[in-house]
Amino acid sequence: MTAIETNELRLTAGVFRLSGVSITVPVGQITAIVGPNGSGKSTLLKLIAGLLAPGGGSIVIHGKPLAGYKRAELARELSMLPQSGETLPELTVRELAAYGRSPYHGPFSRRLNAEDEQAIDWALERMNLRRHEDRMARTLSGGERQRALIAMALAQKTGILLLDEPTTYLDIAHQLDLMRVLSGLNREYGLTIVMVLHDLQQAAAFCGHLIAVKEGAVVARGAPQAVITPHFLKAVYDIDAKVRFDEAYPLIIPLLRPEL
Amino acid sequence: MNKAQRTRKRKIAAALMPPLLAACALFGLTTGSVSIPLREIGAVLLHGSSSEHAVILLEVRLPRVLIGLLTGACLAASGAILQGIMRNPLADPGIIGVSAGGGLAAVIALVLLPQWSYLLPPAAFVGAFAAALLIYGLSWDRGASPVKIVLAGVAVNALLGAVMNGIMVFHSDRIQAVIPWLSGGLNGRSWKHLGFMLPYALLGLALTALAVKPANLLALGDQSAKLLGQRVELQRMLLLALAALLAGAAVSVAGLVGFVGLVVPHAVRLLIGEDYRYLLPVSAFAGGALVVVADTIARSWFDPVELPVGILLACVGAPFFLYLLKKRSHWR
Repeated sequence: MTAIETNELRLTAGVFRLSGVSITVPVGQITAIVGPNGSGKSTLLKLIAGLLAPGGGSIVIHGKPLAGYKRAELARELSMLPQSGETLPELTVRELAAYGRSPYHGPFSRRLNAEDEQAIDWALERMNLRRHEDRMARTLSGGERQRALIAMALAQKTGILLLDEPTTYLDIAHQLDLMRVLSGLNREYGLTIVMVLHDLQQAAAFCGHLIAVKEGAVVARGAPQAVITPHFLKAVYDIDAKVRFDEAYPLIIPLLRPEL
Repeated sequence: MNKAQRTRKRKIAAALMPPLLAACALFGLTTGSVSIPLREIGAVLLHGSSSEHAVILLEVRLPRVLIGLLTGACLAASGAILQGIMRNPLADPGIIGVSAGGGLAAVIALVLLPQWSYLLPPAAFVGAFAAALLIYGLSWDRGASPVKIVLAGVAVNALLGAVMNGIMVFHSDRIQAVIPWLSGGLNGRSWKHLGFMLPYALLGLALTALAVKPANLLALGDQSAKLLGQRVELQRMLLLALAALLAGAAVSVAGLVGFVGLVVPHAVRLLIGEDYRYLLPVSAFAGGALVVVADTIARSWFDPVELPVGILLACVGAPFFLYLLKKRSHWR
């Protein structure tokens, strides 16, 4: 069964092109999208989340074309952590997470019901934020802030969670922490997770499925252990390296070219 | 500011606003070229009287104070909404040309259709909304960038001002009615004017209750609001219309009064935070209080000259705007 399917997806924005991207994201798995900077990973995620309109091709979410979803309806199927950037308004962590319930309410109603409170509790619990719930979101550290934003997405109670570079600005301890929490969510609730990652080791260790994008086109896909090879590294990143696996972790050892 | 502090500040602000407004209104009623003691005001309002003071109070000061309250409330609420939807702390109906749009439409109505003065508020609303749309369209590039909005606003403002002046040059015989209105003042405003603006102002202020949730969600950023299932473009358009309605109601009677929509929401934000549930009502109250006090000062301190309140507010507001510009130079 597929959670997300794209078919010949095209987009031209300035000099950037996405040319005929067709991918399938399996339900209940963690899928990593990797590729060099500017390859179109984030763009692909934004297209799937309906934040950008494609220039051609189609996207199907849980068996229904993306174009057939109303915004709020889509927000009950699919949530996303965008790349960090926006400054947060002056809110407590709990209030931020509570915004995740917006897709379940009309544009004007503001009362939260018992189901909402339960979802918010659960989301904060999962992200280990219960003891910080009354803190102002602006006072959080980078890692906590990221978790608070993910808690907001979790409170949406969707079947699919997209994350755009969730670990890029975190130190290794927080990175591993986050990856563990995410794989827990995937294991226990069957949450389908798609994330753009730069770290191939984490992609291999935590993700069951890997999609590599380069210059706006898919160049490799499959199980990370099978996909990450010297040939792959040459094709995607243009580096010469040896690859050895230590358990699930690939060791990538660059072959240094002599300086000319 | 932590949660406890915020709660306390919100409570204090909510409790303080009605008495503050009442105090400002009384200041406006008692002060002027003739001072009328509080006691007498109570007597006149409760029992009626036909003394000279009663006439001044009921025919001159009371409508003027009420108009001041509504004008300030509308401008402050309009500014708070504009700052939210444009994600730009410098947005103010006066600065970005929304008021000028309303002003131009009102001048056209005043000069060309002087007999239909009750058309002023709807005309001002249409003008304000058109200007808002124009500015928004000009600055739109997959999202309206704050800097572009201000730049587009400045340009539109200048253009609308030029057209306004042009009309007045060509119809110089009829501008007597326009001049006092243009300078942004409440001189000679009476019950008739209050009647013009009242329905629009009340409608606009009541609708701000519906603006709270969309405005709060937009504060998370367009992308996040969309991901939370919001129809961002539609909501922004509706909020823009509401801001124009509020600005139009104010402009149609008080003329071009600037900076209230900038200064008040800012000060309120600093005090109680950015949650629109509190920001909008407290700004409306504070805006009303500010305009009444400023108008009272403007008409009494420079006796025998009555200074238009817009001039006084600009003297306070313009330095504040510059201060904001300097303090926060990191806006994208």
